[in-house]
Amino acid sequence: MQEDLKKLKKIILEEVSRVKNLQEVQDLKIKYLGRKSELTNILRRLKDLSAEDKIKFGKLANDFKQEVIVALDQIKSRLEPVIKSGGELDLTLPGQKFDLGHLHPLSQVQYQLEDVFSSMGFMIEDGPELESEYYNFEALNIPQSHPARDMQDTFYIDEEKGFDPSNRLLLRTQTSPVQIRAMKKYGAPLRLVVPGRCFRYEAVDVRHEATFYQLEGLLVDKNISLADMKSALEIVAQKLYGAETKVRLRPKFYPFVEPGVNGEVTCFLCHGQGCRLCKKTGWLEIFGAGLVHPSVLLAGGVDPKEYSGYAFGFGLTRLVMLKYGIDDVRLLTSGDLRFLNQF
Amino acid sequence: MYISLNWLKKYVDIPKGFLAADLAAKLTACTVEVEGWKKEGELLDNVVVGKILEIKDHPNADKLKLVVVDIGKKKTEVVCGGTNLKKGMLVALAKIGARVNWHGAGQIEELKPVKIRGVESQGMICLSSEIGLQDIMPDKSDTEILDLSHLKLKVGQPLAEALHLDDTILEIDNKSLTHRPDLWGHYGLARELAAILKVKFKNYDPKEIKGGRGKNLKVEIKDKEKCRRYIGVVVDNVKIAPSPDWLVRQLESVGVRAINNIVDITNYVMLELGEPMHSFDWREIKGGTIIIDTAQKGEKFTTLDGQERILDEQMLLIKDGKRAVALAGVMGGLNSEIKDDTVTILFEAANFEPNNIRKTSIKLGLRTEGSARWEKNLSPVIAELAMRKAVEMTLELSPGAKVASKVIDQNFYTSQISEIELDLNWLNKRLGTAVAKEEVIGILERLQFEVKDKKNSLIVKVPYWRSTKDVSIAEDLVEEIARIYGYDNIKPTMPSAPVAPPKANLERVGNARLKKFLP
Repeated sequence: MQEDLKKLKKIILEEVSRVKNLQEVQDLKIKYLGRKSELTNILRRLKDLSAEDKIKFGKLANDFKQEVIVALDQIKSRLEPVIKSGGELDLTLPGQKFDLGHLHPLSQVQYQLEDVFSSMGFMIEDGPELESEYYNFEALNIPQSHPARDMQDTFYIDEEKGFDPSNRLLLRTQTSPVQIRAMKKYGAPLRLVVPGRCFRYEAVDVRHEATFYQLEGLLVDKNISLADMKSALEIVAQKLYGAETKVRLRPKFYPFVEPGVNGEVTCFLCHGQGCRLCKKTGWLEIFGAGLVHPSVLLAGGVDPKEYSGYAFGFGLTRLVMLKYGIDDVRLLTSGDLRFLNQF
Repeated sequence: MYISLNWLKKYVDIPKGFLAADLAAKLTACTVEVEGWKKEGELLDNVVVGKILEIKDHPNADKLKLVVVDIGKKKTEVVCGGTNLKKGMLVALAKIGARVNWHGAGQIEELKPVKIRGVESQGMICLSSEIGLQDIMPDKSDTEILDLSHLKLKVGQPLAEALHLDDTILEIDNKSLTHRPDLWGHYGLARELAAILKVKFKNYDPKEIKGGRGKNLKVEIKDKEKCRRYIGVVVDNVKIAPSPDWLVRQLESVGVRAINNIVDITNYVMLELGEPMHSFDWREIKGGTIIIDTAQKGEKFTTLDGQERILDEQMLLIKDGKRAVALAGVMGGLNSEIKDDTVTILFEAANFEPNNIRKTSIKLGLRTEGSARWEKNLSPVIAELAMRKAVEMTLELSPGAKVASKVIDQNFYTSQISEIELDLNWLNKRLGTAVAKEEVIGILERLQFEVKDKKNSLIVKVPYWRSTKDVSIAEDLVEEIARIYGYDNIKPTMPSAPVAPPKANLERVGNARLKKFLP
C-alpha cells in the first residue's frame, strides 16, 4: 500500500506540474480526488487494515491527499488572476447609470403648447395662484350669486381681521383672472397664453383632482371674429395632433365669453372613425372658448366698442391624460416614480 | 333630463325619417348636449300578445311543458319551462325572428325554430327581462314568465303597440342647460327644435280659466323679492284617482313615477312648461289664506317626504292663516298634501327668485326637480300658462270638477324685456361671416324674437322666456345667430393684425431652462 501511494504521488505531482489552465486543474481534481479516483480507492481499503496500520497508513494517505489539494489550489490561484484580466472582465461595458429626473408629462405638454403659441406671437404670462375674489370671479362676469362662487366649490382663505368680505382671497379656480391682470398691465392689442395651476374644492376621485392645470389664451385686437378664433385653434390642434385634425365648435355657456363654445378636435387615436377614447364620436372635447364678453374687456380697461377678442382655455391635465391614455387623474400628482418613469 | 320624442312631437313636426341620432346631433350642434338616447321596445319586434289555450306535458322532460298559444289568427305550439303557466293567461310570445335577450343574460339572439328535447318549438314565451321590459314590469323570479293577463290586451297585437312602447327617450346633459331656463320642459325644447329644423311649431294655448264661486281664496305676498308672482286657483269636486294610462306612461317614459291624477297633472305641467307647480288639500288651508313670507330662524317644518327641517330666516315659506304649508319652490308640506279623499284642491303656480331657492336647497341638502328649475330663473309669465294648463287638464281628467274660486294673481314682476339694436355689419364682423340680413331675421324670428328692420340694423325684442337671464345684449344675439347659422358654417380666417415676436417672459424661460438643466 505504501508503494501504491508513492507511485501515485509521483504521477500526480508530475501531472500537476504540467497543468496549464483552470480546466485541467478541475479535471485533475476529479481524476485524483474524486469518488472514483485511485486515491479514494486506497483510502477505502484502510478499513480492512489492522488498527495499527489504519493509523499509520491513514495518516500517510490523508497527508498525501492534503498535499495534492494544496498543490492544485496553488496552481489554481496562480492561473486565476491571469485569466480574469485577460478574458472575463469587459472593459468596454458602459458605466453604471445614475437615476436622473426628467420633465413631468404635464410640463412636457405645457412646453409643447407654449412653443406653439410663442411661434404664433402669443406671449407667455403668469399670474398669482392666490387670487382675489374680484379677479377670479367678479371681473370675469361671474356674479355673486353664481354657483361657482359657493363655499363648497372654491378654497377660500381664512383671514383674521379687517379683510374685505366682498373680496376674499382664494386659490384661483381658473387661469382666467390673468386675462384681466394682463389687459390692465399691457392694454390692447394683446395676445398671450397663461399656463398654470388651478384649484377646486372637489372630492378627489379617478376623474377629479383638487389641483389641476389649465392653459388659458387671450387675443384682443380690432375686429376679431369667431372665424379668427376658429383658425387659431385649428392651427394649434394640427400642431398637436397632425395636419388632418379638424376643430368643431359647439355652443356652451361660460359667463366670461359671448358667444361661448366648447371645442372638439378630431380624435387623434382613430382619426375620427370612432373609438374607445372618443366614446365612438370621433371627436375629443379639449377646450372651451368664445369671444370675450364686453364686461370682461371693460374690467380689463379695454373699450369693447373699439376692440374685440377671443379667449380659450385648454385643460392641460386633460390633454396629458388623453395623450398618454392615463385613466386616473390622481396619478399625475402622486409623485409615484413607477408612474413618472414611463414618460 | 329625459326628453320624450313623442312628447316633443305634440308641438313640433319633426320631419319623417329624421332619426334620434340626427336629432341628437342637431341639438348638440345648436343648443344643448344630448348625451344619448334609447328607443323603447327595442326587443319587441315580432313579439305579440298570446293567450295560453292548452298546457301539455313534454314527452321527454319533467320540467318542460308544451304550450298551445293563440296569437290572433292562428295557434302556435312552443316548449316552455315557466313555472307559472296557466290556461287563459296572456303572455308575451316571441315569434320566430324575434330578437331576445336569452334569460336576461345580455346576449341578444334571433329566435329560430328549434327542437327542444325532441319537440319542435315555434317561438318562446318570454320573461320580462328577455324582451327588455324589466324596468316597467320586473321579473318575479327567473322562472316565471311575464303575465300580462291583468292588462286586458288584444290577443295577437304586437306587444310594443299594445304597451305603447314606441317612444324614443333622449337624455340631455343638465349642465349644458344651466343658462336656459326655457329649456327645462318639452315645450321649450320643441320650440328650439322648430327653429333649428325650420319646421312648424304649435303655439301653446290652454283655455283661459273662468273664475268660479264658492271658495274665497286670499293671497298675500310679504316678501316680494323672493316671490315675484303667485297665482292660486281652487278647484272643487275633484275625484282623486289614478291617472289615465297615457299620462302614467308619459310620466314614466321620462323617469317620473305616477302618483295620482292631481299630483301627476302638476308634474306633467312642470315637465312640459318647466314651471314647477304645487297642489294643496284645500281643507288644510286655514282661513282660505295663503301668505308668502320668510321663516323664523329655527322654525321647524315637515316636508312631504316626512323629514322635519330646521329653517332659517332667509328661507321662504308658503303659509296659511296659521302655519307653514310648503317650503316655497323646494317641497310641499306633509300637512297639506293631496290625500285619497281630497275633494277640493288649491293649485299654486308661482315664481320664486332663483338665488334664494338655490341657497335654501343647499342649506337643507334638499334638491328637487322644482328647486333645480327655479334656480335657473324662470320667467314669471309662464306661471299663468302653467295654471291654465293644469286647470284644463283637471277639468278633463276628473269629470265633474269645477273651478271654485276667482283666479287670484299677485304679480310683482316688472318685465325686463328689452329691445336690442343689432348692427348687421358689426354682427358679421364678430362672426367673421357674411350672413345676409334675411337669414339673420329668419333665425331670430324662428326663435320668436320680434324683429324690426332698420336697414343697416335690426331692433330685436327678446321673448319673455329668454329675457330673465340669457339674452340682454347684442353679443347674446351674436350667439343666437352663430349657433343656428351653424358654427360649422363659419370658415376659419386669419386675423389681419401686425405680428411681432412676443415679449419673452424671462422668469418662465429661466425656469424652464433650469428644469431641463438640473434634472
